[in-house]
Amino acid sequence: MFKDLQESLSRIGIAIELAKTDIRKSYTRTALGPFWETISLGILLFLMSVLWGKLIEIKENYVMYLVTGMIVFRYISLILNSSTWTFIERADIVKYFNIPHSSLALSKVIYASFIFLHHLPLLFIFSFFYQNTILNFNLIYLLYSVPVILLTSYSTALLVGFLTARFRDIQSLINTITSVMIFFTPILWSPSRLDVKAQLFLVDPNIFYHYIELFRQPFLGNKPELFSIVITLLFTTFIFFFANWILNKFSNKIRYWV
Amino acid sequence: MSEVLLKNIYLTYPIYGHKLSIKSKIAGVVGGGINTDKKKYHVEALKNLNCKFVNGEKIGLLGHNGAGKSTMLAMLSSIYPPSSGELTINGKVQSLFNPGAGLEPEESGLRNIKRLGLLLNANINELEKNTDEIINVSGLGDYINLPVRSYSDGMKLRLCFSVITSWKSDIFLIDEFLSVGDNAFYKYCKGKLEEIMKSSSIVVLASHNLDFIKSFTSRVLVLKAGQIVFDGITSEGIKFYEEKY
Repeated sequence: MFKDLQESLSRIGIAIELAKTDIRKSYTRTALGPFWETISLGILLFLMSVLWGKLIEIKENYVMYLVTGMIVFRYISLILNSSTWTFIERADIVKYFNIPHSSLALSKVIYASFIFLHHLPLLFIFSFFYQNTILNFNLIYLLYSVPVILLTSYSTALLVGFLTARFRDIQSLINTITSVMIFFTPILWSPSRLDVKAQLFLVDPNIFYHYIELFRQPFLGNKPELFSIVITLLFTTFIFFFANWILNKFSNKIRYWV
Repeated sequence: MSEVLLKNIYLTYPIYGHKLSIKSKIAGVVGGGINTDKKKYHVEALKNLNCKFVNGEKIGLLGHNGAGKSTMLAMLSSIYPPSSGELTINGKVQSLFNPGAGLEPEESGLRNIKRLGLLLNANINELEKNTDEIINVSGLGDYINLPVRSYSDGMKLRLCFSVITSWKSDIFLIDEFLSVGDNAFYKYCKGKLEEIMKSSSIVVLASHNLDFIKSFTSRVLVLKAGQIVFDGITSEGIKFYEEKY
Protein backbone atom coordinates (compact mmCIF):
# COMPACT_ATOMS: atom_id res chain seq x y z
CA MET A 1 0.00 0.00 0.00
CA PHE A 2 2.87 2.39 0.76
CA LYS A 3 5.18 1.40 -2.09
CA ASP A 4 4.75 4.72 -3.88
CA LEU A 5 5.44 6.68 -0.68
CA GLN A 6 8.51 4.57 0.06
CA GLU A 7 9.84 5.20 -3.44
CA SER A 8 9.20 8.93 -3.21
CA LEU A 9 11.08 9.04 0.10
CA SER A 10 14.00 7.17 -1.45
CA ARG A 11 13.90 9.70 -4.32
CA ILE A 12 13.23 12.68 -2.03
CA GLY A 13 15.43 14.84 -4.26
CA ILE A 14 12.52 15.13 -6.72
CA ALA A 15 10.14 16.62 -4.13
CA ILE A 16 12.80 18.98 -2.81
CA GLU A 17 13.79 20.16 -6.28
CA LEU A 18 10.14 20.75 -7.32
CA ALA A 19 9.46 22.68 -4.11
CA LYS A 20 12.61 24.76 -4.59
CA THR A 21 11.49 25.59 -8.12
CA ASP A 22 8.08 26.71 -6.83
CA ILE A 23 9.72 28.93 -4.23
CA ARG A 24 12.13 30.47 -6.73
CA LYS A 25 9.28 31.03 -9.20
CA SER A 26 7.12 32.71 -6.57
CA TYR A 27 9.79 35.24 -5.60
CA THR A 28 11.82 35.66 -8.72
CA ARG A 29 13.06 39.22 -9.28
CA THR A 30 11.88 40.38 -5.84
CA ALA A 31 14.41 42.03 -3.52
CA LEU A 32 13.05 40.54 -0.29
CA GLY A 33 12.03 37.14 -1.66
CA PRO A 34 10.05 34.92 0.72
CA PHE A 35 10.42 37.50 3.51
CA TRP A 36 7.49 39.21 1.83
CA GLU A 37 5.47 36.43 3.46
CA THR A 38 6.67 37.55 6.89
CA ILE A 39 6.05 41.22 6.13
CA SER A 40 2.60 40.86 4.56
CA LEU A 41 1.22 38.60 7.30
CA GLY A 42 2.93 40.77 9.91
CA ILE A 43 1.17 43.91 8.64
CA LEU A 44 -2.16 42.10 8.44
CA LEU A 45 -1.83 40.73 11.96
CA PHE A 46 -0.78 44.08 13.38
CA LEU A 47 -3.75 45.89 11.83
CA MET A 48 -6.13 43.10 12.85
CA SER A 49 -4.87 43.03 16.40
CA VAL A 50 -5.50 46.78 16.66
CA LEU A 51 -8.93 46.71 14.98
CA TRP A 52 -10.26 43.50 16.55
CA GLY A 53 -8.86 44.53 19.90
CA LYS A 54 -11.17 47.54 19.72
CA LEU A 55 -14.16 45.70 18.24
CA ILE A 56 -14.31 42.83 20.67
CA GLU A 57 -13.53 42.63 24.32
CA ILE A 58 -9.79 42.12 24.39
CA LYS A 59 -8.33 39.57 26.73
CA GLU A 60 -4.82 39.48 28.08
CA ASN A 61 -3.29 37.26 25.43
CA TYR A 62 -5.74 37.88 22.58
CA VAL A 63 -3.00 39.05 20.21
CA MET A 64 -0.97 35.88 20.63
CA TYR A 65 -4.18 33.86 20.24
CA LEU A 66 -4.84 35.68 16.97
CA VAL A 67 -1.24 35.44 15.71
CA THR A 68 -0.79 31.69 16.36
CA GLY A 69 -4.25 30.90 14.99
CA MET A 70 -3.69 32.95 11.87
CA ILE A 71 -0.25 31.46 11.16
CA VAL A 72 -1.61 27.90 11.31
CA PHE A 73 -4.71 28.80 9.30
CA ARG A 74 -2.50 30.40 6.61
CA TYR A 75 -0.57 27.13 6.43
CA ILE A 76 -3.77 25.05 6.21
CA SER A 77 -5.18 27.37 3.57
CA LEU A 78 -1.95 27.24 1.55
CA ILE A 79 -1.82 23.44 1.68
CA LEU A 80 -5.45 23.09 0.68
CA ASN A 81 -5.30 25.55 -2.20
CA SER A 82 -1.96 24.39 -3.56
CA SER A 83 -3.12 20.75 -3.28
CA THR A 84 -5.65 21.41 -6.02
CA TRP A 85 -2.65 21.90 -8.34
CA THR A 86 -0.63 18.85 -7.19
CA PHE A 87 -1.05 16.95 -10.44
CA ILE A 88 -2.68 19.44 -12.81
CA GLU A 89 0.22 21.90 -12.92
CA ARG A 90 2.71 19.08 -13.39
CA ALA A 91 0.85 17.34 -16.20
CA ASP A 92 4.01 17.04 -18.33
CA ILE A 93 5.84 15.23 -15.53
CA VAL A 94 2.88 12.95 -14.81
CA LYS A 95 2.54 12.08 -18.51
CA TYR A 96 6.15 11.67 -19.57
CA PHE A 97 8.10 10.54 -16.49
CA ASN A 98 7.94 7.43 -14.42
CA ILE A 99 8.12 8.97 -10.95
CA PRO A 100 6.29 8.12 -7.72
CA HIS A 101 3.17 10.29 -7.61
CA SER A 102 3.50 10.99 -3.91
CA SER A 103 6.66 13.00 -4.74
CA LEU A 104 4.38 15.69 -6.13
CA ALA A 105 2.36 15.75 -2.89
CA LEU A 106 5.53 15.88 -0.80
CA SER A 107 6.76 18.86 -2.83
CA LYS A 108 3.61 20.76 -1.84
CA VAL A 109 4.25 20.00 1.85
CA ILE A 110 7.86 21.16 1.58
CA TYR A 111 6.77 24.37 -0.16
CA ALA A 112 4.05 25.16 2.42
CA SER A 113 6.41 24.35 5.31
CA PHE A 114 8.99 26.73 3.89
CA ILE A 115 6.41 29.53 3.79
CA PHE A 116 5.27 28.57 7.29
CA LEU A 117 8.84 28.94 8.57
CA HIS A 118 8.79 32.50 7.23
CA HIS A 119 5.65 33.21 9.26
CA LEU A 120 7.07 31.70 12.44
CA PRO A 121 9.28 34.71 13.41
CA LEU A 122 6.05 36.70 13.78
CA LEU A 123 5.28 34.70 16.92
CA PHE A 124 8.47 35.94 18.54
CA ILE A 125 8.08 39.50 17.24
CA PHE A 126 4.50 39.85 18.56
CA SER A 127 5.32 38.12 21.85
CA PHE A 128 8.19 40.59 22.31
CA PHE A 129 6.03 43.66 21.62
CA TYR A 130 3.04 42.48 23.64
CA GLN A 131 5.26 41.11 26.41
CA ASN A 132 3.78 37.64 26.27
CA THR A 133 6.24 34.88 26.85
CA ILE A 134 5.73 31.99 24.49
CA LEU A 135 8.52 29.76 25.75
CA ASN A 136 7.06 27.26 28.23
CA PHE A 137 7.04 23.55 29.02
CA ASN A 138 3.84 22.88 27.12
CA LEU A 139 5.73 23.43 23.88
CA ILE A 140 6.67 19.77 24.28
CA TYR A 141 3.22 19.05 22.79
CA LEU A 142 4.57 20.32 19.47
CA LEU A 143 6.38 16.98 19.24
CA TYR A 144 2.93 15.56 18.60
CA SER A 145 1.41 18.53 16.75
CA VAL A 146 4.05 19.05 14.07
CA PRO A 147 4.25 15.45 12.76
CA VAL A 148 0.45 15.18 12.82
CA ILE A 149 0.05 18.41 10.85
CA LEU A 150 2.75 17.38 8.34
CA LEU A 151 1.25 13.92 7.85
CA THR A 152 -2.21 15.40 7.29
CA SER A 153 -0.72 17.93 4.86
CA TYR A 154 0.85 15.15 2.79
CA SER A 155 -2.39 13.16 2.75
CA THR A 156 -4.39 16.27 1.83
CA ALA A 157 -2.03 17.20 -1.00
CA LEU A 158 -2.39 13.69 -2.38
CA LEU A 159 -6.13 13.29 -1.91
CA VAL A 160 -7.19 16.77 -3.02
CA GLY A 161 -4.70 16.53 -5.91
CA PHE A 162 -6.32 13.31 -7.15
CA LEU A 163 -9.87 14.58 -6.66
CA THR A 164 -9.17 17.86 -8.45
CA ALA A 165 -7.47 16.13 -11.36
CA ARG A 166 -10.65 14.09 -11.88
CA PHE A 167 -13.30 16.61 -10.82
CA ARG A 168 -12.21 20.17 -11.57
CA ASP A 169 -15.05 21.65 -9.48
CA ILE A 170 -13.09 20.69 -6.38
CA GLN A 171 -10.74 23.62 -7.04
CA SER A 172 -13.53 26.19 -6.64
CA LEU A 173 -15.00 24.26 -3.73
CA ILE A 174 -11.70 24.30 -1.81
CA ASN A 175 -11.29 27.99 -2.56
CA THR A 176 -14.76 28.66 -1.15
CA ILE A 177 -14.14 26.51 1.93
CA THR A 178 -10.91 28.29 2.84
CA SER A 179 -12.47 31.72 2.29
CA VAL A 180 -15.41 30.90 4.53
CA MET A 181 -13.65 28.92 7.23
CA ILE A 182 -11.45 31.80 8.34
CA PHE A 183 -14.61 33.40 9.78
CA PHE A 184 -16.25 30.20 11.05
CA THR A 185 -13.15 28.85 12.76
CA PRO A 186 -12.16 30.33 16.11
CA ILE A 187 -9.19 32.37 14.92
CA LEU A 188 -10.43 35.94 15.28
CA TRP A 189 -12.80 34.97 18.09
CA SER A 190 -12.70 32.59 21.00
CA PRO A 191 -15.13 29.62 21.35
CA SER A 192 -15.84 30.78 24.93
CA ARG A 193 -17.92 33.62 23.44
CA LEU A 194 -20.46 31.02 22.22
CA ASP A 195 -22.91 29.16 24.45
CA VAL A 196 -22.41 25.42 24.98
CA LYS A 197 -24.95 24.38 22.34
CA ALA A 198 -23.41 26.62 19.69
CA GLN A 199 -19.97 25.31 20.57
CA LEU A 200 -21.24 21.77 20.12
CA PHE A 201 -22.48 22.50 16.58
CA LEU A 202 -20.05 25.15 15.35
CA VAL A 203 -16.73 24.46 17.04
CA ASP A 204 -16.45 20.78 17.95
CA PRO A 205 -17.11 19.41 14.44
CA ASN A 206 -14.68 21.89 12.89
CA ILE A 207 -11.53 19.91 12.09
CA PHE A 208 -9.62 23.11 11.26
CA TYR A 209 -10.14 24.27 14.83
CA HIS A 210 -8.65 21.12 16.33
CA TYR A 211 -5.52 21.29 14.16
CA ILE A 212 -5.10 24.98 15.02
CA GLU A 213 -5.50 24.19 18.72
CA LEU A 214 -2.72 21.60 18.55
CA PHE A 215 -0.31 24.34 17.58
CA ARG A 216 -1.87 27.35 19.29
CA GLN A 217 -2.38 26.17 22.85
CA PRO A 218 1.28 25.21 23.56
CA PHE A 219 2.37 28.70 22.48
CA LEU A 220 -0.22 30.20 24.83
CA GLY A 221 1.22 28.16 27.67
CA ASN A 222 -1.57 25.56 27.75
CA LYS A 223 -1.95 21.89 26.91
CA PRO A 224 -4.10 21.14 23.86
CA GLU A 225 -7.43 19.62 24.88
CA LEU A 226 -7.55 15.82 24.91
CA PHE A 227 -10.57 15.99 22.59
CA SER A 228 -8.50 17.88 19.98
CA ILE A 229 -5.65 15.38 20.31
CA VAL A 230 -7.96 12.39 19.84
CA ILE A 231 -9.90 13.94 16.94
CA THR A 232 -6.74 14.94 15.06
CA LEU A 233 -5.16 11.55 15.66
CA LEU A 234 -8.21 9.77 14.26
CA PHE A 235 -8.55 12.15 11.33
CA THR A 236 -4.84 11.99 10.48
CA THR A 237 -4.88 8.18 10.53
CA PHE A 238 -8.03 8.02 8.44
CA ILE A 239 -6.95 10.52 5.77
CA PHE A 240 -3.44 9.01 5.56
CA PHE A 241 -4.75 5.51 4.84
CA PHE A 242 -7.54 6.79 2.60
CA ALA A 243 -5.20 8.99 0.51
CA ASN A 244 -2.75 6.13 0.05
CA TRP A 245 -5.57 3.77 -0.87
CA ILE A 246 -6.75 6.26 -3.49
CA LEU A 247 -3.18 6.55 -4.75
CA ASN A 248 -2.92 2.78 -5.11
CA LYS A 249 -6.27 2.44 -6.78
CA PHE A 250 -6.10 5.34 -9.22
CA SER A 251 -2.37 5.82 -9.78
CA ASN A 252 -2.64 4.37 -13.28
CA LYS A 253 -5.49 6.70 -14.19
CA ILE A 254 -4.01 10.02 -13.11
CA ARG A 255 -2.14 10.32 -16.44
CA TYR A 256 -5.45 10.35 -18.27
CA TRP A 257 -7.00 12.91 -15.92
CA VAL A 258 -4.43 15.68 -16.06
CA MET B 1 20.59 -9.95 -20.68
CA SER B 2 18.03 -7.37 -21.79
CA GLU B 3 14.72 -8.47 -23.16
CA VAL B 4 11.28 -7.05 -23.89
CA LEU B 5 8.32 -9.40 -24.29
CA LEU B 6 4.79 -8.36 -25.26
CA LYS B 7 2.06 -10.98 -25.09
CA ASN B 8 -1.53 -10.18 -26.11
CA ILE B 9 -1.12 -6.57 -25.04
CA TYR B 10 -4.11 -4.24 -25.14
CA LEU B 11 -4.02 -0.63 -24.02
CA THR B 12 -7.19 1.40 -23.79
CA TYR B 13 -7.35 4.83 -22.26
CA PRO B 14 -10.30 6.96 -21.24
CA ILE B 15 -10.94 10.53 -22.39
CA TYR B 16 -12.77 12.68 -19.89
CA GLY B 17 -14.79 15.81 -20.45
CA HIS B 18 -15.06 15.73 -24.24
CA LYS B 19 -17.98 14.86 -26.44
CA LEU B 20 -17.54 13.22 -29.80
CA SER B 21 -19.72 14.25 -32.72
CA ILE B 22 -21.25 11.68 -35.08
CA LYS B 23 -19.44 13.43 -37.92
CA SER B 24 -16.04 12.96 -36.30
CA LYS B 25 -16.85 9.32 -35.58
CA ILE B 26 -17.50 8.70 -39.25
CA ALA B 27 -14.76 10.89 -40.68
CA GLY B 28 -11.83 9.88 -38.42
CA VAL B 29 -9.10 8.19 -40.42
CA VAL B 30 -6.23 8.27 -37.96
CA GLY B 31 -5.75 6.93 -34.44
CA GLY B 32 -7.06 3.88 -32.68
CA GLY B 33 -10.72 3.00 -32.43
CA ILE B 34 -12.94 5.06 -30.12
CA ASN B 35 -15.59 3.41 -27.95
CA THR B 36 -18.05 5.10 -25.69
CA ASP B 37 -19.89 4.21 -22.56
CA LYS B 38 -22.33 6.40 -20.64
CA LYS B 39 -19.71 8.56 -18.98
CA LYS B 40 -16.60 8.70 -21.13
CA TYR B 41 -14.85 7.74 -24.35
CA HIS B 42 -12.21 5.07 -24.60
CA VAL B 43 -9.42 5.10 -27.15
CA GLU B 44 -8.15 1.66 -28.08
CA ALA B 45 -4.56 2.76 -28.52
CA LEU B 46 -2.93 -0.69 -28.73
CA LYS B 47 -4.53 -3.95 -29.72
CA ASN B 48 -3.26 -7.49 -29.40
CA LEU B 49 0.46 -6.74 -29.58
CA ASN B 50 2.71 -9.79 -29.64
CA CYS B 51 6.44 -9.42 -30.12
CA LYS B 52 9.79 -9.92 -28.50
CA PHE B 53 12.88 -7.69 -28.57
CA VAL B 54 16.19 -9.28 -27.62
CA ASN B 55 19.75 -8.19 -26.95
CA GLY B 56 21.36 -6.33 -29.81
CA GLU B 57 18.16 -5.49 -31.68
CA LYS B 58 17.53 -2.00 -33.06
CA ILE B 59 13.85 -1.65 -33.81
CA GLY B 60 12.12 1.03 -35.82
CA LEU B 61 8.44 1.83 -35.33
CA LEU B 62 6.57 3.13 -38.37
CA GLY B 63 2.95 4.15 -38.78
CA HIS B 64 0.68 7.08 -39.51
CA ASN B 65 -0.16 9.70 -36.89
CA GLY B 66 -2.05 8.10 -34.05
CA ALA B 67 -1.06 4.58 -35.08
CA GLY B 68 0.13 3.85 -31.53
CA LYS B 69 3.91 4.35 -31.83
CA SER B 70 4.22 6.87 -28.99
CA THR B 71 1.78 4.95 -26.79
CA MET B 72 3.77 1.79 -27.34
CA LEU B 73 6.98 3.55 -26.32
CA ALA B 74 5.27 5.10 -23.28
CA MET B 75 4.07 1.64 -22.28
CA LEU B 76 7.57 0.18 -22.68
CA SER B 77 8.91 2.89 -20.37
CA SER B 78 6.21 1.94 -17.79
CA ILE B 79 4.44 5.31 -18.06
CA TYR B 80 1.23 3.71 -19.35
CA PRO B 81 0.53 0.23 -18.01
CA PRO B 82 -1.21 -2.16 -20.43
CA SER B 83 -4.95 -2.66 -19.88
CA SER B 84 -4.49 -6.39 -20.39
CA GLY B 85 -1.84 -8.83 -21.53
CA GLU B 86 1.62 -9.64 -20.34
CA LEU B 87 4.50 -7.17 -20.53
CA THR B 88 7.97 -8.28 -19.46
CA ILE B 89 10.89 -5.87 -19.45
CA ASN B 90 14.33 -6.96 -18.32
CA GLY B 91 16.85 -4.12 -18.22
CA LYS B 92 17.15 -0.46 -17.31
CA VAL B 93 14.99 1.67 -19.58
CA GLN B 94 15.77 5.20 -20.70
CA SER B 95 13.53 7.26 -22.92
CA LEU B 96 13.32 10.52 -24.82
CA PHE B 97 9.78 11.41 -25.84
CA ASN B 98 8.95 15.07 -25.64
CA PRO B 99 11.97 17.41 -25.51
CA GLY B 100 10.05 20.09 -23.60
CA ALA B 101 8.54 17.80 -20.96
CA GLY B 102 9.90 18.15 -17.45
CA LEU B 103 11.71 21.40 -18.18
CA GLU B 104 10.84 24.38 -15.99
CA PRO B 105 10.71 27.46 -18.26
CA GLU B 106 11.56 29.90 -15.48
CA GLU B 107 14.70 28.05 -14.41
CA SER B 108 18.08 28.16 -16.14
CA GLY B 109 19.33 25.36 -18.35
CA LEU B 110 21.85 24.49 -15.66
CA ARG B 111 19.17 23.99 -13.00
CA ASN B 112 17.08 22.04 -15.49
CA ILE B 113 19.93 19.56 -15.98
CA LYS B 114 19.60 18.53 -12.33
CA ARG B 115 15.81 18.58 -12.53
CA LEU B 116 15.75 16.27 -15.56
CA GLY B 117 18.31 14.00 -13.94
CA LEU B 118 16.13 13.62 -10.85
CA LEU B 119 13.00 12.98 -12.88
CA LEU B 120 14.81 10.35 -14.93
CA ASN B 121 16.21 8.69 -11.80
CA ALA B 122 19.80 9.34 -12.79
CA ASN B 123 22.64 8.93 -10.36
CA ILE B 124 22.89 12.55 -9.22
CA ASN B 125 26.57 12.37 -8.21
CA GLU B 126 27.42 10.99 -11.63
CA LEU B 127 25.25 13.62 -13.27
CA GLU B 128 26.95 16.43 -11.36
CA LYS B 129 30.34 15.09 -12.40
CA ASN B 130 29.21 15.06 -16.02
CA THR B 131 27.57 18.50 -15.94
CA ASP B 132 30.43 20.26 -17.74
CA GLU B 133 30.41 17.64 -20.44
CA ILE B 134 26.62 17.88 -20.78
CA ILE B 135 26.88 21.66 -21.21
CA ASN B 136 29.66 21.23 -23.70
CA VAL B 137 27.80 18.61 -25.69
CA SER B 138 24.58 20.62 -25.73
CA GLY B 139 26.43 23.49 -27.41
CA LEU B 140 24.27 25.99 -25.51
CA GLY B 141 27.25 28.06 -24.32
CA ASP B 142 26.23 31.00 -22.16
CA TYR B 143 22.56 30.20 -22.75
CA ILE B 144 22.94 27.49 -20.12
CA ASN B 145 22.59 30.20 -17.47
CA LEU B 146 19.48 31.75 -19.03
CA PRO B 147 15.91 30.67 -18.30
CA VAL B 148 14.64 27.89 -20.53
CA ARG B 149 11.71 30.07 -21.62
CA SER B 150 14.24 31.95 -23.76
CA TYR B 151 15.20 28.74 -25.63
CA SER B 152 13.97 27.68 -29.05
CA ASP B 153 12.54 24.15 -29.49
CA GLY B 154 15.86 23.08 -30.95
CA MET B 155 17.77 24.36 -27.94
CA LYS B 156 15.43 22.52 -25.56
CA LEU B 157 16.03 19.38 -27.58
CA ARG B 158 19.79 19.87 -27.34
CA LEU B 159 19.54 20.21 -23.57
CA CYS B 160 17.31 17.17 -23.08
CA PHE B 161 19.23 14.98 -25.50
CA SER B 162 22.54 15.86 -23.83
CA VAL B 163 21.19 15.03 -20.36
CA ILE B 164 19.50 11.81 -21.36
CA THR B 165 22.45 10.44 -23.29
CA SER B 166 24.92 11.24 -20.49
CA TRP B 167 24.44 7.86 -18.83
CA LYS B 168 24.06 4.31 -20.07
CA SER B 169 20.92 2.23 -20.18
CA ASP B 170 20.05 -1.25 -21.38
CA ILE B 171 16.94 -0.30 -23.31
CA PHE B 172 16.74 3.06 -25.06
CA LEU B 173 13.40 4.37 -26.35
CA ILE B 174 13.24 7.38 -28.65
CA ASP B 175 10.17 9.02 -30.07
CA GLU B 176 10.15 11.19 -33.21
CA PHE B 177 12.04 14.27 -32.10
CA LEU B 178 14.83 15.22 -34.48
CA SER B 179 12.69 17.41 -36.71
CA VAL B 180 13.23 20.50 -34.52
CA GLY B 181 17.05 20.33 -34.35
CA ASP B 182 19.35 22.13 -36.80
CA ASN B 183 21.76 20.42 -39.20
CA ALA B 184 24.74 20.51 -36.87
CA PHE B 185 22.75 18.99 -34.03
CA TYR B 186 21.18 16.43 -36.35
CA LYS B 187 24.69 15.27 -37.26
CA TYR B 188 25.67 15.24 -33.60
CA CYS B 189 22.55 13.24 -32.72
CA LYS B 190 23.32 10.71 -35.40
CA GLY B 191 26.82 10.28 -33.99
CA LYS B 192 25.54 10.03 -30.44
CA LEU B 193 22.80 7.60 -31.44
CA GLU B 194 25.39 5.37 -33.07
CA GLU B 195 27.21 5.32 -29.73
CA ILE B 196 23.97 4.53 -27.91
CA MET B 197 23.19 1.82 -30.42
CA LYS B 198 26.50 0.21 -29.55
CA SER B 199 26.20 0.59 -25.77
CA SER B 200 22.46 -0.11 -25.31
CA SER B 201 21.29 -3.65 -25.77
CA ILE B 202 17.92 -2.75 -27.23
CA VAL B 203 16.94 0.45 -29.02
CA VAL B 204 13.39 1.23 -30.11
CA LEU B 205 13.01 4.25 -32.34
CA ALA B 206 9.74 5.75 -33.59
CA SER B 207 10.02 8.05 -36.59
CA HIS B 208 8.47 9.16 -39.84
CA ASN B 209 11.94 9.74 -41.23
CA LEU B 210 12.58 6.66 -43.34
CA ASP B 211 16.27 7.48 -43.91
CA PHE B 212 16.72 7.61 -40.18
CA ILE B 213 14.98 4.28 -39.69
CA LYS B 214 17.04 2.80 -42.52
CA SER B 215 20.34 4.02 -41.02
CA PHE B 216 19.74 2.92 -37.47
CA THR B 217 17.48 -0.09 -37.33
CA SER B 218 17.64 -3.69 -38.39
CA ARG B 219 14.00 -4.55 -37.72
CA VAL B 220 10.81 -2.62 -38.33
CA LEU B 221 7.33 -2.85 -36.84
CA VAL B 222 4.60 -1.11 -38.81
CA LEU B 223 1.60 -0.10 -36.70
CA LYS B 224 -1.88 0.66 -37.92
CA ALA B 225 -4.69 1.71 -35.58
CA GLY B 226 -2.85 0.21 -32.63
CA GLN B 227 -2.06 -3.13 -34.25
CA ILE B 228 1.17 -4.54 -35.64
CA VAL B 229 0.58 -5.07 -39.35
CA PHE B 230 4.19 -5.81 -40.26
CA ASP B 231 7.14 -7.18 -38.31
CA GLY B 232 10.33 -7.94 -40.21
CA ILE B 233 13.65 -6.68 -41.52
CA THR B 234 14.01 -2.94 -42.12
CA SER B 235 14.27 -2.92 -45.91
CA GLU B 236 11.06 -4.96 -46.28
CA GLY B 237 9.31 -2.94 -43.58
CA ILE B 238 10.05 0.34 -45.32
CA LYS B 239 8.87 -1.11 -48.64
CA PHE B 240 5.66 -2.30 -46.98
CA TYR B 241 5.12 1.09 -45.35
CA GLU B 242 5.73 3.00 -48.58
CA GLU B 243 3.33 0.79 -50.52
CA LYS B 244 0.53 0.86 -47.99
CA TYR B 245 0.73 4.45 -46.71
